[in-house]
This record gives sequence, C-alpha cells and structure tokens, in this order.
Amino acid sequence: MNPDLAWHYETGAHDGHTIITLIGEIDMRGAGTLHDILQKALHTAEAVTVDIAGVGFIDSTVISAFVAARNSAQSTDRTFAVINPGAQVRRVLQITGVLDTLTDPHSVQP
Amino acid sequence: MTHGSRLGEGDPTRPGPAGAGQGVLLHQRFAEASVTSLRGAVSAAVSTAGLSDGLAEDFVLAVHELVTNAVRHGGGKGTLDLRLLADVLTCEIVDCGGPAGGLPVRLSPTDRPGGRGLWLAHQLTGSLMLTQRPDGVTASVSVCVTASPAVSSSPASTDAVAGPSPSEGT
Repeated sequence: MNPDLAWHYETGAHDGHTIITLIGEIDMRGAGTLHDILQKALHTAEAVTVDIAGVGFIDSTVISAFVAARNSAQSTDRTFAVINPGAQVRRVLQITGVLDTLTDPHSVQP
Repeated sequence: MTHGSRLGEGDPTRPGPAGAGQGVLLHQRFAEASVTSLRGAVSAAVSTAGLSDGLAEDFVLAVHELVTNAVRHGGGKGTLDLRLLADVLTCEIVDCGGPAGGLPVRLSPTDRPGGRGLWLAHQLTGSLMLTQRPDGVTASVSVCVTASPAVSSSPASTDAVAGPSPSEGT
C-alpha cells in the first residue's frame, strides 16, 4: 500500500463557502499538503468548513495545520471550522486543548 | 500471557546483542518516508502483544508522535525498539540529532500551530520519559498489556480501569 494514498479530500463550494471533506488517515507526511489546501481555500472563500467524519487518524502536525488555518481565518476576518470528528480524533483534539476552538459552532454553519 | 519459547542463550551461530534483544517485538530504523508504514507495523505488533484496542490506539499515537519528533527535530531519522518484558510493553525511540534545545511537555496555547507532540505522547500514556544525550534524544513510553480488562464488545463495564486520563480543567 502506498502510504501517500492513505488519505484524500473532496472540495465543494457554494456562496463563498467551501466545504472540504477529508477521508483517511493523515499524519506528518500529509500535513504539509493539508496545510496548503486549507490556506488556499481560505484565500478564495469567506468560510471554510472541514468535515473530518471520515478521518480515522490525525497527529499533532495535522492539528498544527488546522490551527494555522484557524489563525489565518481570524487574521483575515474569515471563518474556519472543523466538524464531525470521530471518537478517536475528537479525543486527540480534546487532549491537545483545541477541540472547542476548532469546532466552534459560531464560526461556520452551513 | 506468556510465551514459552525463549531465545537460545549464547547460540554462537546467531551473533547479536544477547540480552539486549530479549523481548524485542520490533526493531526498525526510520526516516520520514517510513513513518506511516512504521505506524502500521507498531500497531500490528502491539495488537499481537495483547494490548486492548483503546489502549493500543493511544499507545500507537504516542509512539508515532515520538517518531515524528525525531524526524522533524532529531536529525530526520532514528531507531525504534518495541519490547515486551513480562506484561510491560515499552517503545524506545532514539535519534541522533544533536543536543535538544528544549523538550516542552506542556499544553500549547490554542492559537499556537506547533508543540503538541510530546504533550500528546505524555497524556496518552502517562509514561513518557525523555533522556537528553550529547548526540540526541532517547524517548520512551510504556504501557501494561494487562492494564485493562479484555472487554471485546460490551462497553458496559463501569469499573474498567481506564488508561491514564488527562487531568481535565487545567
């Protein structure tokens, strides 16, 4: 199995709102790509929502990409939120203290 | 769960680190390209060792964070050793990235993009040990494979001994 294909993403957009759906297991080898995808999305959309229901694994580098996106969104007056974390991913976000910040329901509601 | 067979003592036809090799489940060098496959190998090994699912997920992520740390901050590569001695599973990650400037094991502010790896490893296992050597860092985590009852399907048990829980509210 090619570990580079351990995850993929789909993008949907309407009315200046981009929804990025991530699927698979993402670690440090994918975090750079994910970072770029999120930053690029924030350049073109007023609101970016990342649906991670289909993500079974993230590590601290993926959290870094989310936090960087959240920071970019805030500094440019846009909104960014991560939604639908599964149990294990949710736990990791919780332990690292970013669950509430990243999934802030006031940020983006489709 | 004990394994009856032991490595032959002092077998002259099998040179190797006698003693040091005892209980070794996995011994692997790694670099960035092998981080993902190594995680799969660790996952399979801890499962075979009898670690229950929840503890295994936590342990594998903790190990992965230490491997990631070695790749990103410890010279780009390292060596992983996974051992089972009695019922304690220990994973040691050694890098040779030179003296570590600082090894912060603390909760990062929510707006800081980095610095969560060691915190995660510590919180997920409660057993993170970091040794700074002149030429790098030796990091290890361990877990008892009999620490949780073998609950296969029913999560109803209320007196289950959970793994180390992060202290909430801090």
